[in-house]
Amino acid sequence: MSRETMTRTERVDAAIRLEKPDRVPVVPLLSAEAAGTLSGATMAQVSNDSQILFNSILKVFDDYGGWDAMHGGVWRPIHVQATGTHPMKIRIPGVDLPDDYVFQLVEEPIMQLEDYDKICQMGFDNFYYDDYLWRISSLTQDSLSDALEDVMIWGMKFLPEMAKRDVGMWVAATGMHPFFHLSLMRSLITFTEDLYYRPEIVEKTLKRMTADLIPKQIAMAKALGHNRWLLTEERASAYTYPLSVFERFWWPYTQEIVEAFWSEGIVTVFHIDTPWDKNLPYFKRLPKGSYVVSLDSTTDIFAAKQLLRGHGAIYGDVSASLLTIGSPADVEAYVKRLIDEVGDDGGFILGQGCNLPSNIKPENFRAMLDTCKTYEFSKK
Amino acid sequence: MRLVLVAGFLGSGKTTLLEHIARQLTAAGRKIAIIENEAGEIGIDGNYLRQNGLEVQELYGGCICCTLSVDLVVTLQKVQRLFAPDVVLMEPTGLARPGDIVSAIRSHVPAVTHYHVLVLVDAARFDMLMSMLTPLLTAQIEAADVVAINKIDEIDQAVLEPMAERIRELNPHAQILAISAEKAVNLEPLLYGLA
Repeated sequence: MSRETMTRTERVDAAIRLEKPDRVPVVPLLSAEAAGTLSGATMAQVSNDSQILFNSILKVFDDYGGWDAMHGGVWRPIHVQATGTHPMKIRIPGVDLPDDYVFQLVEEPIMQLEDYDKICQMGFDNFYYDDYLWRISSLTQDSLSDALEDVMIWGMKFLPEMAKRDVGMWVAATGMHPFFHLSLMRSLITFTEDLYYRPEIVEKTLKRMTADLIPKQIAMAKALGHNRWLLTEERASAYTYPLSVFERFWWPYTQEIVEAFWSEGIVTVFHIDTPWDKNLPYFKRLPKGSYVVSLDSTTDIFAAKQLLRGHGAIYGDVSASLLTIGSPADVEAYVKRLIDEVGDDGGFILGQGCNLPSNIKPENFRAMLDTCKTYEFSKK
Repeated sequence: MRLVLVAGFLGSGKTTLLEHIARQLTAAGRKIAIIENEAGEIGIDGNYLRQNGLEVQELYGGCICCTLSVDLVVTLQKVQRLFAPDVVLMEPTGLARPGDIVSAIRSHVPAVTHYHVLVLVDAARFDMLMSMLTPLLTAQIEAADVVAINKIDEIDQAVLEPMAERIRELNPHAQILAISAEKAVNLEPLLYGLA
């Protein structure tokens, strides 16, 4: 049996460059909820205590023999509000919900029609921190500073722990697609009404948000010395909207974003949920190697591989149902199929579909990691 | 155990209708449990319903979409084990496709013997939604046993029949009802076979 010949970082980087590494890298997105479940902490603990979440992540990494890049970190619900990652009201376990519940995003049209103009005039960040945040959060100016400082402190504490374990970050900067951001802030139906009845103001706002996002996130990635960043979108696919909406309100801004990052040598990692089968052909218009698509198991990943082979890397897609309801044998069989059919010529990073679920079975998580780390060597 | 899925977009009147059905079935002596997944502006009054003898499970997920089916399966298994209700009323998020949910439950929860998919469409927004959210609304209607056109008190009655015809074209097998959940108009047929 052969064995590993690359470091974790070399392995991941090779896959991103569409090359074939010594084996397929495995990079699970360890959400706070899954970290809690796998380490024995409650949802309330990992949602409200950074130290417990920090310990949980490292404990899971060590208990399960590690993996090839850290995806996830000390991100509590209050952090995602403070940084604008989830611009919604959040119900928090141990505060608004029982201790064993997963945090809940509340869908409400908090952003008002006149706010489009405010964003266009003020820029998104100014609008968010001067106005919008206070509509969705119980944070005060002081506690906002504390929350943002907390993100920095725990991020900095993470770095030496990762160095000790010889593992790098999967992505440095993270952002939401402007389309998704607006949909969450306006709520799905109200935003859809805007697309229908007043498309010009939506387009003007998307343009402004795109112009704001690009330099901010490029500066963040550069400051962290990292050449990958994460862009999340859950509502633009043909699962929800017809292609005419996608073509007008999503694709042009996406192309602009990816090309701007690529011109700086930064790869865009798309976290795209829901089925994207009908939308993925558009990705072939992007520069070769400039992107990774992370699929959530509802897109046909095998067809995606045929479409994007040699053009863009693919991440995914062991489903939440397999990890929760399936058996270790089911997980093992699916991981082997992914490696054989999607990882056959490189350009593939194995992970879960979307997030690791909060009700994940520990034995299934272990099967996912161990199979990926040993299967290809066992064949040689 | 019978499962009644009350699907439709946020704002289509699901919660109002679900509470009505729950009260009627409870009055008819059926043991009811509710699984609510939509956290919106006007949530279900879980405390009120609990005081009236119903079991309410608020199923909250951190991710909006990707773990939904499996979370619903796990919650349904728990409800069946702990409460053994006659009827479970389930309100999934408006982004869900009921066909996917039914498929997941059929595979993993054999205790469910009867399925009843009720899809609400918002009469006042139907044209806009059909034009803009075509894939999602089409999938919801196609999976329905009953399509209830809600908020008929807010529209010109002349547009009702063309709307019903478009729904019929998408799903010729579904029963189509025109209702007002808010004003309790024409809700009795929704209970046929359930009470």
